[in-house]
Amino acid sequence: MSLEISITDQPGGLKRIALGGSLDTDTAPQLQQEIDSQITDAVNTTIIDFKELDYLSSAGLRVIFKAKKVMDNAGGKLLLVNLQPQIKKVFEIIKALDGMNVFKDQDEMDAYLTDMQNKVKDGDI
Amino acid sequence: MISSNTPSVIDQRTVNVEGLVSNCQRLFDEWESFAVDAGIPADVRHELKLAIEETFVNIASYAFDGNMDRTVEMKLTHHYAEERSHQDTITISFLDHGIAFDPLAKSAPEDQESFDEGGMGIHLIRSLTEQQDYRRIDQRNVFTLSRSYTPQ
Repeated sequence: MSLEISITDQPGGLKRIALGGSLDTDTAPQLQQEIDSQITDAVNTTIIDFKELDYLSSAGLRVIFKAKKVMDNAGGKLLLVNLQPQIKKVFEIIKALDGMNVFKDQDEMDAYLTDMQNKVKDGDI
Repeated sequence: MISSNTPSVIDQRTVNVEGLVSNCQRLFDEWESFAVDAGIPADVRHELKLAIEETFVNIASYAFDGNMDRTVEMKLTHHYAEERSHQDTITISFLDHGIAFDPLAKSAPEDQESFDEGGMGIHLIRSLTEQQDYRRIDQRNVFTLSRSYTPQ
C-alpha cells in the first residue's frame, strides 16, 4: 500500500498535512521528508488530517511524535484531526493521546482555531 | 496431531521471504489473501496485519548479522471452531535462524515517552494478540502469536 500526502498552507502560519492510504515502515520516511522540509519557522500550527488514512504502524507513530517535538520546541502546536477508529486504537494502545491535541472532525478543530485566533486578537496570548 | 474424537478443521499457509524490511508488503499480501479466503472479519484482519508488520520489522532489523541466512518463514494457521458457539483461532508463527532474541523479555513501558525503537512495536503486538510465545528450537527463533474471534 502506498501513502498519499497532500500539503496546503493556510493563512496565519497554518500547515495542513492530509494523509491517505498506509503510514507504515515502508512509507514513514516519505512523511518524515515532507515534515522536515515543510515545517519551517514560519509555521506555528501543523494540522495532520488522518481522514483518508487506513493503516498506521509504530514507524508512522514515530514520525508523528517527532513532528510533535519539533512543534513543541518551536512553541507551536500540532493538531490531529479525523482519526478513524482503527487509527485511534493504535494511538490509544501506545497511550499517545495524552498531551496531544486531537479533534474528532473539522468542525471541532475549526472551533478551536477560531477560539485561539480570538484570544490572540484580544491579547490573551 | 489431530485425534479422531476431536475433529478440527484448519487452513494453513507458509511463506518464506528474505528478512529485509522491504519484504513486509509480501507478507501483507499473503496475509490478506489467506485471511479473506478464511472469512476473517476486517477488524481482526487489520489488527493482525499490524502485528505482522511489527514482528517482521523487529526480526528484519535486529535478528541478523553479517552473512547469516536471512530467511524468515511466516506460517499462518486458522483453526475453525468445532461448534458454532466456539471461537475460531488464528496463529501466526515467525521462524528464523537469526541471533537468539526473546522479544517478550522486555516489560511494557509506563508511558509514551519511555517507548524506545523496539518497545512500541512489541507493546502493539501484545495488545493486538491474546497469546505470544517465544522459543529457541534447533538454532531457530520461533515466535508465535495467536488471536481468537467469534465467527459471524
